[in-house]
Amino acid sequence: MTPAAARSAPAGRPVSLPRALVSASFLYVWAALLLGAGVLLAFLVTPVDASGLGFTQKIFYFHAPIAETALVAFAVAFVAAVLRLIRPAAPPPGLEVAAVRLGLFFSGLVMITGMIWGRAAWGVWWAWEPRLTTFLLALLVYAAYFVVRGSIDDEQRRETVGSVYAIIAFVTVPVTFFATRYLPDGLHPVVITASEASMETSMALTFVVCTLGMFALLAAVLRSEIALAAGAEALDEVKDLLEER
Amino acid sequence: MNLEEAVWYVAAAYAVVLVALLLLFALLARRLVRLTQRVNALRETDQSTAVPDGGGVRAAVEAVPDGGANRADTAAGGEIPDPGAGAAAASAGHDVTAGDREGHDDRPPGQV
Repeated sequence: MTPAAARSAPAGRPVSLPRALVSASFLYVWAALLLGAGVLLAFLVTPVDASGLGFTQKIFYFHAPIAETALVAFAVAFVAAVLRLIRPAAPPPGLEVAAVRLGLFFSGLVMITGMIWGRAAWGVWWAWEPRLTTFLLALLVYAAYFVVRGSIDDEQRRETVGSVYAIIAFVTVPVTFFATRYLPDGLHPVVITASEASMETSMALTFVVCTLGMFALLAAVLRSEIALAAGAEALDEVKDLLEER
Repeated sequence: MNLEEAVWYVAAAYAVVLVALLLLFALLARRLVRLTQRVNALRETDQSTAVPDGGGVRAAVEAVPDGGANRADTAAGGEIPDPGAGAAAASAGHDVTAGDREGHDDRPPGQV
């Protein structure tokens, strides 16, 4: 029996409520509700930042959660890669690739929104400061993941090399996260630290809502990607069987 | 920077996020469409090869050790059409099914 079969409930079995609540459909609904509420909170409830960022600070309600979601996606890829190397049957098929793909997507998005904010705040589209540079480095390293995979024909070897690469590439994630905090001369603002969150309650609430919305979106798309990968895998097996007949 | 200029920057950033999310959903939908096309192509292949039992793709899916499970996984996503159901529906009005079924169907009675 394959991993997919081992994980799946038999057809017709009632779906439990907790399982249903985190199914892809519900996660999409949660994401839409949370992100919609985040937009409303950002523009209708939170005050304009008085610490110098001004109205452009509202970009951060989505910029920062997207950045966190990108790093979480890379962390998911790391865990899936480790699991795959330890127990190949453990991670759902396609999870690692989907997580890297989504991490890249969110990384690209955070770069663009960050550039827009940088232009407004610093007057330049790009600055070679630690956070931006390390995030760009992480993006390029993970983009190479697909180049490495694409260069290997043998499927088994491609999966193994891809997992090893995803583990090594994860080194860039903590470097990116801690770059602002520990590297000197950073222009990038640090609002939330281990000891405090230097913002008003409504701002913190909006930030949390947007972050949860982005996480829900990531989980929903990951589930959809896994379902698509499982469907494609099943089709390949059916096709092979039909060709043998 | 004046407020009007700041509003433009904020609007641009939010628009980028919105467009990117729409793009993400479009790409997911495109992959779903491609998968559906592959299912349809498989149905056509199944019919053109005149599989004796007429069960076609459904029988093939069930013959795969984890075929049903994969369909259950797929159903969790809620979007992938059931290849077996489609093939069964497609073969319902097909002459090959009725004519060729006799003498070739080695399944127990009552099995679909």
